[in-house]
Amino acid sequence: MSSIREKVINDLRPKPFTKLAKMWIGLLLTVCAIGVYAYIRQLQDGLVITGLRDYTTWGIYIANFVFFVAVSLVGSLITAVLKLSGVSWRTPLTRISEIIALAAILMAGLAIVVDMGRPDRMLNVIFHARMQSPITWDVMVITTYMALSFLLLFLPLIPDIAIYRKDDKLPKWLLKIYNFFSLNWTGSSAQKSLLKQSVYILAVMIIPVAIGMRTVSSLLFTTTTKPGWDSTNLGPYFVAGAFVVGLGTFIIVMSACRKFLHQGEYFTDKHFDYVSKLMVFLLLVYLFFNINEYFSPAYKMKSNEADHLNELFFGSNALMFWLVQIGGLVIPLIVLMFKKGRKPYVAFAVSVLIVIGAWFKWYLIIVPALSHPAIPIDRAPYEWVNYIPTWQEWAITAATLAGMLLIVTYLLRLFPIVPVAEYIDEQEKKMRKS
Amino acid sequence: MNRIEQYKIFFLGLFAMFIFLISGPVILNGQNDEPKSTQKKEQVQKKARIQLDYYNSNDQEYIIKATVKTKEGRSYVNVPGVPVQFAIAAEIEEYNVDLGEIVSDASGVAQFTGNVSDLPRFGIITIKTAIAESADFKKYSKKLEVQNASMVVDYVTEDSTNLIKVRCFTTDSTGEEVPIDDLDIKVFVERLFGELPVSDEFNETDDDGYVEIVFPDNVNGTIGGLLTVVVRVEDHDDYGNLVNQKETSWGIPLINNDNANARLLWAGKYKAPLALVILINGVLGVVWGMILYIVINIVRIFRIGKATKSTMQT
Repeated sequence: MSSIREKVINDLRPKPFTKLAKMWIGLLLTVCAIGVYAYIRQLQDGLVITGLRDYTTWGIYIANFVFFVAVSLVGSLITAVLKLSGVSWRTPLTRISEIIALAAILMAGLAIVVDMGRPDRMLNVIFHARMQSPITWDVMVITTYMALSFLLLFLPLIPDIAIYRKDDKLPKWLLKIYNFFSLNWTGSSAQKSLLKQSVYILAVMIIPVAIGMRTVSSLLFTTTTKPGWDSTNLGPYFVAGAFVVGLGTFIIVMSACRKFLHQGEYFTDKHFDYVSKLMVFLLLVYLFFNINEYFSPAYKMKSNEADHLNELFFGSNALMFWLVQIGGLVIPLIVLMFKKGRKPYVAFAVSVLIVIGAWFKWYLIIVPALSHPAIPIDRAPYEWVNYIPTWQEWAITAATLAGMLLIVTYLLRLFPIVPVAEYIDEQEKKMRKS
Repeated sequence: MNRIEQYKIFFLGLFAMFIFLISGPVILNGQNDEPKSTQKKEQVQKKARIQLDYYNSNDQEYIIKATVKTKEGRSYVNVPGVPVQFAIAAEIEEYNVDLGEIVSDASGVAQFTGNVSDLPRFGIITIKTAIAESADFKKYSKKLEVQNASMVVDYVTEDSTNLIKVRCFTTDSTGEEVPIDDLDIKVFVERLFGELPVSDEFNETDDDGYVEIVFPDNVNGTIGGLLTVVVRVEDHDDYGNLVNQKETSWGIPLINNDNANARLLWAGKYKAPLALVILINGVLGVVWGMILYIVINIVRIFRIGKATKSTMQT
C-alpha cells in the first residue's frame, strides 16, 4: 500500500461522534421534537392553527419548501457542472455537496407535506394528477431529482466503502453495512468502467433535471397573474438564486468539516478561495436577475404591481427586503471580491448571511404577493390581509431545517466525507507524473 | 454511551419519524367532528320568534311563509322542527279560517300555500301564526295584516321592444277595481342561484295603477333564448309581496361553446393536450429509462464482483 493511500485512508476513516457533536445532535433532536409536537397539534386541529388564511394560503411552509429545493441544487453544481468542466480541485468537495443535495431534497418533500391540510390525501396528487398542472410537474421532477441525488451519492461511495469494509478500526455493524452496500466491489476494470459510465450519465442528466426542477418550482408562481409572480424572469431568477444558496450551504458545511472533523488538509484555503470565486460569479448573475425582476415593474408601476412594490420598497416589508438585498447579496458580493474575504472564516460568515438572506428572500417572494390579490375581497378581515406565522409554523419549519442538518450530520459520520478512491487515484497519478 | 448505542438511538429516531408520518392519517381519522359544546346541558326554555311574509303569486295562489328563529349568542338562527299554527281572519263576512299546523323545515321555514280565490277580495285580512308552549320554547304568536291586491302583467313585444305592462289594483265592496298608485315594481330574471335584477331602480305605478317597463335586450338566455322573467312588488306594508313570473323568449340565445371533448390546458385530467402528454411522458421516460439503466449497471457491478470473488476462491 502506497504511503499516500495509507495516509488518506487513515485521515478519512469515519470517526465516532465527539462530545460536541453529541450536543449538536441533542439540540437538533430537541428542535425536531418540538416540531413534531406542533405538527401533531396541526393534524388534530387543522391548518386553522397556522396564520394561513384566504389571502396568504402559502406562508413560511412553502417559502421553506422553495428554500430546500434551492439548496439541493448544489449537488448538480459541484458534482456535475464542475466534473463535466474538468475542474480538478472539486474532487474532495463532491461528497459533501451530494450529501447536502440528498438531505435538502428529502426535506423539501417533507416541507410540502406539512403544508397539506389533509396529508392523508397526499397520494391523490399522484392518483388524480392532471398533466396540465405545474404541481403535477413539480411532484414528477422532485421525485426524479430525489432518485438522481441518491444515485449520485451512492455510486461514488461504492469503491470508498469497499476500501473500509474490512477496516478493523470501524465498528462491526458499520462494516456490515459497508459490506452489503459495497456490492462485491473488487476494483476490476469492468466494474470501474461501469461505475465511471454510470456516474458520467448521472452527471450529464442531473443538470437539466436540476434546472428543470427549479424552473417548474418557478412555474408554480408564474402561471398565475399575481403581482410579483407574473414575470417571465422568475425561472432563471430561481435557478440563479438556487445555485447561490446551494453553494452558500456547501461553504458552511465544508467549514464545519474543516473545523470539527479536522480535515483542513482536504478542504484547504485554496478550496475556499475557488468556491468563493465561483460564488462571486453566481452572485453577479443573481444580482443581474434581481435587478431585472424589480426594475421593469418598478419603472412601469402598473396599479397592482405598484401596491406590491411599494410594500416591498417602502412598506411593512421594506426592512426585510433591503436587509435581504444588501445583507444577503450586495455585502457578500463585495466581501468575496477581495482575497481576504475568501479566507475560510470570512467565507463561512458571508455564506451564513447568504443562506439566511435566501430563506427570507423566498418569504418575500411568496407572502407579500399573496397579500395583494388581483381581486381583493371587500372588507377582508385583518388576519387575512396580514399574515403572521404562528409558533406552530415556526416550530415545524425549524424542525425541517434541523432534520436536514441531522441527516447531513449522520451521513458525514457514516461515510467518508471525501471520495477516497477517486482522491487516491488522482494523488497517485500526480505522483507518477512528478 | 458507546457507538452502537448512539446508532441505535439514531435508527430509533428514524423509526419514530416514520411512525409519526404514517400516524397523520390515523390521527385525522380519529378526530371527533362533534364539537365539545354539544355536550348535554341543562334544558332551558328559549324564546322563539316568527318572521312572517305574505306572497301573492300570479294572482292565483297565496303563500304564507313563517320563518322560526331564536337567539343564540348575539345573532338569530333559524330553528327547524317547530310546529307553527296558521289561521286567517277578515274584518268582514265573519271570515275566520283555521289553516292548521305546519312544522318548520330544515331551514326553519313553515309555509302554507292556498288559492287566492279562497280569500276575501276586499278589506283587511289578518294572518295569524302561533307557537304553542313546549319543552324547548315559550308560547309565542305573530300577526300580519294585508289587503288582497292583484297584479296583472302582460309580456308583449312592440316594434322589436319587449315590454312588461303591469296593472295593480284592489277590489272594493261593490266589486269595482281600485287602482293602486306609487307601487314600486321590480323586474328580475331567474338565474341558477337566485334572481338577477334587470329593471331600472324606479318603476312606479301611476294613478291608474299602471306602469310600462322596457325589458333590456342584452340579457343572456338559454340555448333557445328562453328567460323566466319575474315581476315583483316586494314587502309592501299593505299588500305584502306580489309576484308574477313567466317564461319568455326575450334572452340572447346562448351559443353552445362547449369544449368538453376537446383536449385543452384547462380541461380535466383525461383531456390534457396531446402534445403536453407526449412531451412530459417522453422526458420522464428518457430520464427514468436512464435511471433504470444505471440500476441495471449497479446489478452488473454486483454480479461481476460476485463472479470475481468465486473465481478467486476456487
